[in-house]
Amino acid sequence: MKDSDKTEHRDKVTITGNLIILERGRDELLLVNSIDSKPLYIKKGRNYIKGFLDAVGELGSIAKIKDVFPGDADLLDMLMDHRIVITREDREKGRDKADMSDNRRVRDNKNAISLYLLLTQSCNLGCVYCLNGKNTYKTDTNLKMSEEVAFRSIDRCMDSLNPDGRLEVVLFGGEPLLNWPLAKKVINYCEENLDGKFKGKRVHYHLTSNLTVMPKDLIEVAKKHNMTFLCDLDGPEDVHDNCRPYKNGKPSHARTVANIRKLTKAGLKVALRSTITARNQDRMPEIAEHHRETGGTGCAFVPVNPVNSDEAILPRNLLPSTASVLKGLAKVYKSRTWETKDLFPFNVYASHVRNGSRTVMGCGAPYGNTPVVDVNGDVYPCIYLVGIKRFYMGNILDESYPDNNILDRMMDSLHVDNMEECRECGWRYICGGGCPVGKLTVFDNPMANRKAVKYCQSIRCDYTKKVIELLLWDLAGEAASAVKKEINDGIPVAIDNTIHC
Amino acid sequence: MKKEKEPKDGAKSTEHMPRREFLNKSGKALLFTASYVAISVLGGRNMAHAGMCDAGCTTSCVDSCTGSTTVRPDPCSSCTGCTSSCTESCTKYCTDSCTSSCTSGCTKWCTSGCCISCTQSTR
Repeated sequence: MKDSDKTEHRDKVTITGNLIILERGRDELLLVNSIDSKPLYIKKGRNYIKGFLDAVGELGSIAKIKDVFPGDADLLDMLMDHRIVITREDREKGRDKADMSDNRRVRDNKNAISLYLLLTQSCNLGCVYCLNGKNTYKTDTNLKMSEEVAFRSIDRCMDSLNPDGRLEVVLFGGEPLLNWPLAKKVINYCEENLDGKFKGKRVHYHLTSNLTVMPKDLIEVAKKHNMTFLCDLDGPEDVHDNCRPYKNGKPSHARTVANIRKLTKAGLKVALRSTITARNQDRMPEIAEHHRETGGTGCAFVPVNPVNSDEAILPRNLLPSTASVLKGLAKVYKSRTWETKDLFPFNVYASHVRNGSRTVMGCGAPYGNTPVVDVNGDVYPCIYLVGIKRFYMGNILDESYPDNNILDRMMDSLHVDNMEECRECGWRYICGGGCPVGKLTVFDNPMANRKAVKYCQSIRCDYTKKVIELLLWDLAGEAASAVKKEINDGIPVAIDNTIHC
Repeated sequence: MKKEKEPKDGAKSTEHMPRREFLNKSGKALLFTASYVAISVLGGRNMAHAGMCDAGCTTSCVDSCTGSTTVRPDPCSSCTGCTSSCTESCTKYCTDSCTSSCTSGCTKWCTSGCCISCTQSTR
């Protein structure tokens, strides 16, 4: 291409195909190209900017735009700096889309793995929304993991990590404290080998438990090894006992809370999580307060997954209304009961809206970074997929693991540019398509009713967008405040030849 | 008539500093006229180590789970496709293809200090 042609080619501009447009109040506008998240906040002049963007789309060339809007050359530059307006060359060369070719390379470059060990598949609680299916988890039998399976799982994950990689051993179940002796053996095994065959690698221990069980030496062991905890506390006593009773129907709240307090009093970190169902959907701010009062070090709200590992669908009357969940979530966020960094899902999506970030998948499961090993050594990519044959990745004890064909299929089908429902959406490179469990287990599930399908779609999409929207407006507010402060302090912030700071 | 405000003592006037250069240095910019007020939101938050996913994990889960799916552009050393606006104004590193000085010297993320319009990466 001649230089003159090249210049002409670069003169042609268009609007990004990944544009998020948010409006607030009478005159505010927030524009983000989701592929690298450099938001531009229009504090005033929404209609002017929207009109300008329409004109950019119609005129299509920098020269023409500058002719028609001679006073807005800086605005055009600013829109291009934020990738709201891009060159046609960028679009034609695919720079306005994510590169899909490197996903498998990223998968093989493992800096961190979260290994889920189902120490036992039994549990003492009978939660109304239990994800452990009777058939796949064989919850009627007292199945426990063997040392061989546990140690081999550690070895194989350590082997696949980069030399300075980090393994998070997630002690999971069922209720993992029902097999506490194996948990301690796993910890000892890791510690004994950190200076030997695992040298250079790091390990962290985490226990996800209902905390109705409290082994005598739990605190001592946990403190010694900096173990972190996650416990489901669905709300105050009436809510929690309604959702998470013992198998015999008796209440569990009092014991769980007492044990959480023992752990936090000992200085241990216990994040608390509430599964949102129709039974607690209208009490989210109160639940956030309850988590705080109980001494939690983090707070999580997770809309219930409408399907268990047997792919059976939960009763309709348990599914929350998405509108209520979104309303509750916004109230919790705005209440500032919890800092963003300690409030899930905001803390996770906050990293997605960082400048330059892009997210092409909803989670790390397709990368094989969250292997779940059941009591027999069978491996699945996510805890929600345990026991489902089409996601079986092989057995940890033999060479059938890892069957990367499973991951390849997931990776291809879950990439936001491959999903029909996402590929044209401007939000896709920030949201990543949301949690894919619904897509994998509900959408084509013959047992799924319309309500469950609609709920899954809405939680994947509306819920994720709401979280991102709240975060983006917050960032805009922070930027505006920072600019205002610096102007007041006499620090230059505005660089435009027409403005004196 | 535009409102003018003199800088306080010690504050360096940036009247003639190219806006993009200022953005590169400060990550902040304001552009206003009678018709609009536009503010760059280039701060972002760093919370990459403070999460838990709904599967019930914490800390490094975010690295291994969402961390693997949320990528940030490589440093400018890998920047292979600067935009025209970058080429026109960025005097620091980038040309249409990055220069050797970019490759050898730039260790910053494209968005935090190199060329603000340079967003393409090889990842």
